Amino acid sequence: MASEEKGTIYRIVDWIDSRFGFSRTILRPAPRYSLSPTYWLGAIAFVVFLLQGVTGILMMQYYVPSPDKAYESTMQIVSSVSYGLFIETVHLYGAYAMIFLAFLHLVRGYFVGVYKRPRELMWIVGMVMGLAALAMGFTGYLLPWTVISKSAVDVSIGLINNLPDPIRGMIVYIIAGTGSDEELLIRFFSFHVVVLPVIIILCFAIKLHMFEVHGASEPLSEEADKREVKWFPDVLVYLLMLSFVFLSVLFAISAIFPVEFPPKFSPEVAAQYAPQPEWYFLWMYQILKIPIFEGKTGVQAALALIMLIALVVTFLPFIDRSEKRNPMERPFATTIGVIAVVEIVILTIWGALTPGKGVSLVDAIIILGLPILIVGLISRAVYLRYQHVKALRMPKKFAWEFVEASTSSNLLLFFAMSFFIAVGSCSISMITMSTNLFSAIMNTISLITSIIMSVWILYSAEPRNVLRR
Amino acid sequence: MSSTAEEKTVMKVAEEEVINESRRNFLKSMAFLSAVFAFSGILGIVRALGPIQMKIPEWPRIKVANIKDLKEKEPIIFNYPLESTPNILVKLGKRVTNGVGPDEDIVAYSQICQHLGCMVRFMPAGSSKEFPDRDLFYCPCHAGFYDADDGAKILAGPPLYPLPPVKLEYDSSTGDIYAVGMGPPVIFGKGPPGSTEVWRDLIGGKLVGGG
Amino acid sequence: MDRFQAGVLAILIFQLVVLAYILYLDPITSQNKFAAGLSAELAASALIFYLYKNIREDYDQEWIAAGIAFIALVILLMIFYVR
Repeated sequence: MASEEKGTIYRIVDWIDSRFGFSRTILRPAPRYSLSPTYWLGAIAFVVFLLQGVTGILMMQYYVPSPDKAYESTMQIVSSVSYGLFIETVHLYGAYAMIFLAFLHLVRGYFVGVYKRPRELMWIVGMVMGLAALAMGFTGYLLPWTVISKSAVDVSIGLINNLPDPIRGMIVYIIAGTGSDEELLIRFFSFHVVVLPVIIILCFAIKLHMFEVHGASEPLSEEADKREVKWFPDVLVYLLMLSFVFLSVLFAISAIFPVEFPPKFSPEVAAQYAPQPEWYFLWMYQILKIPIFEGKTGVQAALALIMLIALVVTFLPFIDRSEKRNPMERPFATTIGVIAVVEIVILTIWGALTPGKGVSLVDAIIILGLPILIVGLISRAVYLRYQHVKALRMPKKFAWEFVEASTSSNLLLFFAMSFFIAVGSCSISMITMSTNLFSAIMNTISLITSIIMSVWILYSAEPRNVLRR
Repeated sequence: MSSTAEEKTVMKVAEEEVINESRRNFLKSMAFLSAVFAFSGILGIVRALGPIQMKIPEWPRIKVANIKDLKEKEPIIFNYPLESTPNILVKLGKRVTNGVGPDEDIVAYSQICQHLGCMVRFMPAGSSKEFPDRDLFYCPCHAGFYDADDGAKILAGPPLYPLPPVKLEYDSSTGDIYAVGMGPPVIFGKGPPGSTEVWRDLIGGKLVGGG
Repeated sequence: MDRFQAGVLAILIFQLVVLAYILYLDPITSQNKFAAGLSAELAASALIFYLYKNIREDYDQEWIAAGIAFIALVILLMIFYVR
């Protein structure tokens, strides 16, 4: 059975490939070091995007994009369509997953320095994809026409209305037309279903092509296994394995926590719900709540700040011109990166804890300023200690085989330490905000644990282990 | 396994020649079949393109309590028809128009206030200053008063619609009380305020009783 | 047929049984069971792919154990918890 089947399948694949020719362009052999999960974050994000497409097309057969019927048609999908609730839930959690994976992909790319020569434009195309993904989340959120989603969109359009005049008119007109509910919904629907997916697919095609031109970014250690593996079946099996693991977890979560909708939007019911954007926008919303950004000029300043951050991240390859890629050799960039990630996480958690409430300037300075101080101090300690070591090595006592075999072991170590530093910084900020004894104790325990873990990682990767063979 | 990289590469090259060819072929076939099964499962969702179920799910019929366990003027909270929609059942002690039971005094209404969704509580006659001679459902959020003796209609306060009644059935042989439906208006949050389309109470959540 | 082949075949038969079960379920009232069953199937496939991928190196017992534990947990949830 075995050899005949192998022959048949291989013959079919070879026949197809000799006609399509993909194995000469995009399905080329991959170096073995790239069969590691951190190299595939973008690919898994795209697999989730495809899943969103499939579930979206299935839902589109029943959804009606008109303010009278949007909520009712969504309820019909959830209650009367075969697998409707499952499809709706997967679509929602898939959207969260796609944005989260895109964020991880960006963070990993930043710390390993993939945007350096010759991949600068790949980074920019990737940023366009990321912004399109966020826009898809924003437009899709309105479609069920529930209380929370319409209120959130109203707040966002209110914010955009603060921009200076020619820009304001243009953006509001593109997004909302003349302002009636029907036009708003139809425009959001068309952006969500046609414009943004086309942008994402085009950018994906460009990036895929550029990826085949430049190859996978080289790993940071010189002993990486550079032997190549064939695309069919080895790389395909790896891609399927990672995708299935991810989809399996996604479906399990969808099974246990099916989506429940708030009531339909009407101005009376909307009065009692505090509008809250989705979690991926919470950090921006929280920045806007800080008192120095009050009033029209304040909002303009906040929007300008956020736009500046987006521009800096997009044009990073032209700002950071050094050729070094190892995080241990780029102390400044790495520290700024850790601070940025920690701040975004803190702002998001803080935003989730204070729905609808304002924040005071003193709180903001403490909660946002302390982590900068802590991360800065720890980073200085790390770099002072290891300035003579080019890359961290995993010590013998951590010799789990999969970690040792992975050529990203030093990256893994660095991620682990960054994670614990982030948790520790969060905990300190949360301690100052604790409202009861229990949460203060939990945050203190979390802080002590993260300090112990960070110190353990630091001290178990001693320099002398590097020299001893 | 835990040697240096060079030794590992040498070992790997050597191992390649002694790879178990039959095991590899076996695994290839198994992996292929496994992928076929997994994709068949995923493709199952195209059933969503099939005919939709036109009828709304039916009202569940669940037992709320037994009349022996009910004490006068002591309410029982139960969820119906969804797990997220609580209701109050109470034995009033005096005959009312829509009461069930041997004395026609057992009624149940949605616990969710029609104004802004707070939970109402039962106040027996004589416990409130404003309406001392009536049993009330009182909403503490904005001081809404519903008349428990008269179909939970509004006596005072900001609510605009009465509390939706739960349709009860009393089984005189066993003494069990069943919830079998809801009357208008729609439960707060389930549909347009004041709507009479009570089928909306059945969607948007988990039905009680394994539905 | 050694133990290894028997084990892999068992996983495959498990997949077939779960597939038949979830395709037989009512697609409206038992959607969440379908989702949980699908999750277990995909995890089983991923397990077989992992065994295939690491054919030259030693398998990491911890990942295999984690995979089987996850599948068992999801199956238990499917039978007893989700609707």
